[in-house]
Amino acid sequence: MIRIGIVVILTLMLSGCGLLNKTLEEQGISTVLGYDLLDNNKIKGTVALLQFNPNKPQTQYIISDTGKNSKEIRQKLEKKTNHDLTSGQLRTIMFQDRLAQERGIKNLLDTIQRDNTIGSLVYVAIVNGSVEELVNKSEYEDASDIGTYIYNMFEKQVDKEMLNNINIHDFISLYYEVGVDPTLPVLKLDKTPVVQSVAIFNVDKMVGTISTQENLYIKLSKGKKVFGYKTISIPVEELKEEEISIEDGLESIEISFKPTYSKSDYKIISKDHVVFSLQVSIEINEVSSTIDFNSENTKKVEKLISKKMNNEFKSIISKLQEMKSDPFGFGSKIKSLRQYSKLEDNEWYDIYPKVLIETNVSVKIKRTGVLN
Amino acid sequence: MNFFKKQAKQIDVESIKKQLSNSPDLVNRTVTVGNKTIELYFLKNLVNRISIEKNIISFLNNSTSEEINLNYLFEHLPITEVKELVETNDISKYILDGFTFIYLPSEKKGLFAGVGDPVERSLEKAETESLVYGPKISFTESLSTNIKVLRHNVSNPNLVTDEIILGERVKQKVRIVYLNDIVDPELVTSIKDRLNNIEIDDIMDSSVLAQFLDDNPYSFFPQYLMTELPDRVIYSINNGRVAIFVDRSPTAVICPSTFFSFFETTEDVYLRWILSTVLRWLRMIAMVLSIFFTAIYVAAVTFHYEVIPSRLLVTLGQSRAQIPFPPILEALLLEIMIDLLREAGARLPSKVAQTMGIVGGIVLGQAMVEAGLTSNILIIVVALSALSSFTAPSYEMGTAIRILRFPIIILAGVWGFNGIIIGVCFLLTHLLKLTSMNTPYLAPLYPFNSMDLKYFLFKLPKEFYINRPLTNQTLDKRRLIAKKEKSDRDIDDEM
Repeated sequence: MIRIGIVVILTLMLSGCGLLNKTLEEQGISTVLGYDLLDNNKIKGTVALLQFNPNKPQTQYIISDTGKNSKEIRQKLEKKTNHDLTSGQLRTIMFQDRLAQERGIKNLLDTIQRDNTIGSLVYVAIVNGSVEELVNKSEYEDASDIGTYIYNMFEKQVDKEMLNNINIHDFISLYYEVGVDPTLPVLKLDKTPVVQSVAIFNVDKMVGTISTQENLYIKLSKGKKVFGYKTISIPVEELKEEEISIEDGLESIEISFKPTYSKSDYKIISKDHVVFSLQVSIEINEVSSTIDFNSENTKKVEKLISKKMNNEFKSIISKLQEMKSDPFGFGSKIKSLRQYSKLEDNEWYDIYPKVLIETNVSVKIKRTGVLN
Repeated sequence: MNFFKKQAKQIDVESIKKQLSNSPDLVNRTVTVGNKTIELYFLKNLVNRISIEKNIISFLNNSTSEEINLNYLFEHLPITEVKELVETNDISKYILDGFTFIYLPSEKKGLFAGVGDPVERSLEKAETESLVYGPKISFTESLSTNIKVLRHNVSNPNLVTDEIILGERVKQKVRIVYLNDIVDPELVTSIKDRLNNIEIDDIMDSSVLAQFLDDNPYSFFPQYLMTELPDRVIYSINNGRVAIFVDRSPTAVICPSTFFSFFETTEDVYLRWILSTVLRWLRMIAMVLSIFFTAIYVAAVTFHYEVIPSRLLVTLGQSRAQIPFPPILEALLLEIMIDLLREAGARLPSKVAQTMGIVGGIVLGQAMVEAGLTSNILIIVVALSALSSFTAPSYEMGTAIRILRFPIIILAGVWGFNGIIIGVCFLLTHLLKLTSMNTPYLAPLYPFNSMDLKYFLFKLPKEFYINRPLTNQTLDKRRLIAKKEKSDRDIDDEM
């Protein structure tokens, strides 16, 4: 008994060697972190912190300061608050588009990833315009603070809509993988932060944007389950060619559908020639004119949609080839073949714009609504 | 030698008075029938006077002096329990047990007549183990009544009630009850060995006896189940366990008991299997919650704000913002307050206790939050874990759990989640090592026995209960259940 008592007393004395005390209310808990590039080549960091005084209407307060790198900014920010700045509840990191274009974001993300208090499921986004302004001025519906709002929005977008996985882990792993480039959403302040487009990267530098509709093809190629909605318009002539009867006086009909399943297949003929086929199952949600979806017509509509999507797909790929960005990961597919296993990033970006990429989209209509 | 002879012969008022420490209650009544005198000795507050008057005095008066001798009285005295005097020193013992000593000076012999009127209350509803379903009767303080209740419920000649007398100064009857065709004989021998080795002046209660039987007296946990319900005792001895009764105590000790049997009620047997499984799990989850919930709060708020869900963060932060204490002090303050309330409620008369519950629970809690001494979320946490600890069917286990949370909270406040894990490690190693009458405490999880899980962790429909629990190592392994063919036959089937 005495021995046990001594052990207990001695171990309790060890409490000083234990964890740092991080009592909740003494922490300046950051939920959003943003970086802007200033004209004098310095970086401005903005942090939204939670504040816990129940008597104040706002549950957040925002501080920002400039510096050469993230640690300098952090040191300066520490002077502006009586709480300990902590990042254990950080949910979103945002970069100004100019910073992403000119500097690349790898260096800043790297320090964040090395921080063991920050999880790798933190979302990363690009801001069209000033991050500081977006954090300071946007409204955020019923969310308690801007961090929660952006986090909830991204969570919804990734799970149910058209954004790709955009957390730090995905970004960094795609960054290191040869022949694939990450994508990130672009936010723009329009009262609330709005997902405007998707930023395309060459390694870690932003080289351009594509629309979220175009991003659908990236998402389809990764074989995720939920993809949001897509609307395409089919000119009447094409319908008539296929002998589908519709009302008179229309120039084109709009078909909205929801992809439910997709399967992609890469056929690598050589380093310079890839055939990419995509099988998509869709659910028709809305057609601007009545079409009788009998089995014959369904086949024809499928064919039309496939053709349309194939064209779109082709144009997106050529656009990406121009920007020297490869979010589809053709490079990694080629590298996975034994004979090309020595393919490196530099080499790939040299040949990528010239690679012949044939696309082949085939659409299958699974459901056309309850009536049928 | 001379001394002994003298002792054996000399039976008079003085010697008996001396044996009974000059008790003023000792009555010495002399009845004279013809030329014979008969002396009666008894303690007037231990006997039934009417019985003495009717069955002894008037019986003697109606007999002739020639008839009266020891054998005649032995055969004809209208009293159920009559015993012969063997040793003079026994006189006091029998008189103290409520016997009347009838002495025949002419023969220098005597006998004891059982006219005792023991202090007894009537059978009542169980107080500490209240039930919704099933029999409500509970044991009383009288051993003979308890055995009577038991015999009444189990009319089986194999029901053994072995008696052992314990206590040096206050002799106390202890009964060991089991079914001898089911129970493991080694278990009975080891229980008897342990009981015989107990040296004590007075066994106050069966709970004291249970502590003497403990395998590990330093443990937090009760090692024997105490129950005041006859049906629970019967269920246990049917499964090959042994119950120990102590005179003057309304609770029986069931040994061996395993950890999980403390979370079992007789209602689990009576209710349908799904219900009782769910309820049993509810109680076990409540136990875990009760031990760890406050500790997790303390650890999360002190060290690990990262794990708090972001939706909860602002609410939690706001409730903590104005509190002057570190979380561990705040938690200990509230925990101690709740325990004070509980203890005060147990000590006070029930009418006052109600008022105190309202004052303490509602007024004090509300005021503390408004004064900014504790956060309202912590009040919810503490109240929930207190509530959970009350769901343990065994009072002893509930109390053990309530006390156990304090070291865990302190560990959480010192080392955060690491501390809780250290606490869990100590707890687990202790539980794994613990035994109850040489049966592993954590059976059937350790040593693992899949067949016994249905007895301890959940319940299955009746047809799965073909074997008795293997943990108890019963002689008769198979349990008799209704044959399946029989139960499958419908009323309209042809016979």
